[in-house]
Amino acid sequence: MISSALPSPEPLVAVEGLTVEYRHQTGWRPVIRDLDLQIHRGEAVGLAGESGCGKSTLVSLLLGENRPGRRIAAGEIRIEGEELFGLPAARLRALRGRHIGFVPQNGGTSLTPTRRIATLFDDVLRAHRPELDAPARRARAHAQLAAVGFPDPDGALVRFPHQFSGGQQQRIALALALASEPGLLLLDEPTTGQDAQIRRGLIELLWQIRRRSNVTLVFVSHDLLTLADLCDRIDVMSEGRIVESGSAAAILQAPAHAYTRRLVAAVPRLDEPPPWRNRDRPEAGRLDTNHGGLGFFRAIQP
Amino acid sequence: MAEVASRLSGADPVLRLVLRRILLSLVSFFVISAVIFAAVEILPGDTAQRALGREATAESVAILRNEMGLHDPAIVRYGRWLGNVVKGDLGVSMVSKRPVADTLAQPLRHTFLLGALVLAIHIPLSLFIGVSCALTRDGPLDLALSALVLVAMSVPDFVIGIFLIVVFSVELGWLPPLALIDQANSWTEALWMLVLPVLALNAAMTAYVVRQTRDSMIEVLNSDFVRVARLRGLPPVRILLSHALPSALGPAINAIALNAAWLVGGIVVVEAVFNYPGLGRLLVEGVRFHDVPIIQAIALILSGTHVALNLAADIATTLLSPKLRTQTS
Amino acid sequence: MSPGKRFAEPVATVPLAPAGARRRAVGDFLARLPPAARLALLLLLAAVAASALAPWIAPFSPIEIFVGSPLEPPSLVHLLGTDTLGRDVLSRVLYGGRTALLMSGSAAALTVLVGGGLGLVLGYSGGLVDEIGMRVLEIVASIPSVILALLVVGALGPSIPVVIVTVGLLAVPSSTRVVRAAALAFVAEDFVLAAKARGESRFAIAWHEILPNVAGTLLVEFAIRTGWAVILIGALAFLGFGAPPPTPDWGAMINEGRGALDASIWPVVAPALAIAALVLTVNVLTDGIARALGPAR
Repeated sequence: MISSALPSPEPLVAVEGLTVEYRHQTGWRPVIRDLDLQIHRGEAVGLAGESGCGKSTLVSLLLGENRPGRRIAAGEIRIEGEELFGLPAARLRALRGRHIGFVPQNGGTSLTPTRRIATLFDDVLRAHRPELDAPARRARAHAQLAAVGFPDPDGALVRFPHQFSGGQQQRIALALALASEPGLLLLDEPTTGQDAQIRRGLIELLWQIRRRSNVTLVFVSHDLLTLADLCDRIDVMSEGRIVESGSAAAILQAPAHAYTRRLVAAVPRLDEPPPWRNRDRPEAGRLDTNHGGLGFFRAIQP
Repeated sequence: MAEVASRLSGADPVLRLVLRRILLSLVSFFVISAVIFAAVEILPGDTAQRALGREATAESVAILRNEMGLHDPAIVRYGRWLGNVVKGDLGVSMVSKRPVADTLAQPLRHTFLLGALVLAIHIPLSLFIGVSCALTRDGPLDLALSALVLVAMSVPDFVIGIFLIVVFSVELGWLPPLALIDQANSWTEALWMLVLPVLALNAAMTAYVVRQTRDSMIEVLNSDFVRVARLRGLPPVRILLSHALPSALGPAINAIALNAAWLVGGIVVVEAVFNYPGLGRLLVEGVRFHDVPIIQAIALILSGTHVALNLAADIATTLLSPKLRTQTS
Repeated sequence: MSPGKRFAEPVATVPLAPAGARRRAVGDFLARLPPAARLALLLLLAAVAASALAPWIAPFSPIEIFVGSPLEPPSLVHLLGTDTLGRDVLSRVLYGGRTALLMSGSAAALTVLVGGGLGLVLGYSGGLVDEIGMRVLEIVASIPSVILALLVVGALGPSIPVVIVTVGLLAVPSSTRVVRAAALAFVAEDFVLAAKARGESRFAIAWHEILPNVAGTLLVEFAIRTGWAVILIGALAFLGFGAPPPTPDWGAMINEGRGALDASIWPVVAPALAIAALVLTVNVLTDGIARALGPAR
């Protein structure tokens, strides 16, 4: 691991005064406005907000991605004190994958369809762990798949991406992101579009990973409850700004900003059954909530 | 038919798919042989009369008709012809009176050489240009080649050949205008003669594959998995060759197959342009002299090659796509 | 045959506006043509006019020999020089345009007539008839056209009608496929089902309900097949299986002039340029028509 558990004076990720604009028919329109963000080693930070609030753009920028029709109007991003934009291509590649693991929204489409799972691991490990020889790479891939809950990693390694279910594909994407043991793991809405069981499984897995490796997590989601299950801190984004930042409990129980209040209000409440549930059996609603909720968060926290 | 294929191949889906394609191709080939036979024999006019010309006496025509078995119904003659073809007996040329198989041997080698050279250059070249266009999308190279596509698609192959002769042989004097490789004294001289025909056929074919490769490559380069491969920090060359290209190859291979199929016809015309001593020239001569066995044999060989090329492309596409390859049903 | 036929792909089906808007669509059709296609249309009209007026604007007879000495270079008298028999190349090219346009236009019309009819019938009948019909056409289409054309024209003996009919029929399978696909999009439409419920005959339905909706597809198909026919007919003539001499024909002119290229390139280059320009013009126009009829982008 490149990062230590101890907080250091320089945060792992520091975003300062970042303003990002997209080209529009009439000119440039900002999607991120004067945004400041610090993420320290070992933290698990949730980025919440509705679609279009700029959170996916932020993730893409944290990876140093450059896209046509998008420009950084002001500010900078530093990863471990290193200014991200203007890095030479080779250094940027080393940063991606080696130091920053990325889990995309759609695990399925993120896996190259023509490559077997073993080859996908091989690509990552060859690029970022050149010291490993072929058997060592194979062993690493095997261990990673086992760690994300594949009972038969050898069988999985020789198959193609389309031969797995959506939840499995998402876990393979997670294992690939972790294969080179990055210090920072970026997850861009990995639970969106998955059913409750897969979502819960993934959160549980991330908890195990945190406990084992002390990886820093940045988890982007529009779903406050998923974030609350996993993250120490939740930053709420709206219209390109972080409008509120605080512990999961503080955000959920005492939202300060008007936008956060709206977000929280949209969350199914834990202390009262959702309206569609049987009112005679409030317990059922509480225990059987689709979202895991804070109860799940507390139960699994070490 | 699928049943036969599955029984032959057991459970392996790839083998089953490939066998199915091969069986379908055999059926096509069978029908094609019938069409060729019909086109030459059932059309109005009498083969014997045509073979002997207008001045032939009724008596000699009758003798020839007898010799050729033309009194039998068409279906019987077709069966006899097909049976002989399967046994490897292509008949005897009506003009030279030599066995067709002997007459064809040398031109077949020549045509095969020309076709192989064309494809050996065509496939890597057009894929390379197509990928380059996709990588420099909307850049000067891409725009120039896109404009060339329409022009190159529009100029008939024999016109391209003529222009090449005018420029490189007549005006510049660099290359021989005719490709009489059977009269060449050395390998190098023969290769030198082949430059213009190979160039003419490639000029006519390249644009289409370039366009298909470019379009499918651009689509793949914009795909999620290529973006994620970049965000995993993989080296660009690896992303291009191992992640993007295999997915983009399917449509490109289809385009190449269409081209290869087109080549079978194009080669006939281009051989005529350069007087190249191949099957195409022999076919044109055969048609001119109504040498029915020669015509039938060459048409069958060329059409069969056409079917085989399509089959090869089909199988290659299947093998490149893991989804098709691992289909369980 | 030549790569020209590949223009068939991007316009496999051309969705048309509903019946009410159709008249308007035809009205501003010209306005919607891309500029390049409008230029091509203009050039094509010029080519048609030049060949139609050939008897009046051609400086010499196209078939009279020794109007000049053989293989004269271009001069003020013979703008494109003369050929081996001392015929005026410009006059032959102008008259050759007539041959090319008439033959390829007729062949394409035949293709669209037969292929369109078959496509409508197969698309509308569906089921086994459709299945078998398409398979047979597919296999026939898989024989290289140059070869099949050579066989048939060779067997029947080259003449203008034989070449037109052969080339026209050879393109029928692919036209049928395109028109059938376009027709299939409408067989389940309400207005077709309504006509069926009214008890109208199959022919009436195909004619009144489906045909107007595939008219755009037929137009594009006609344009594609014209370009394709110019190439194939040119190739046949070049091989010596076109309109019999001394009919002025571009493909035949290229073949005749080849032997004397060392002396003069004009008898070959002029018809070669003409044929390339005609096909390019037709293809650009085809592309434009397909775009103008297709959905707005």
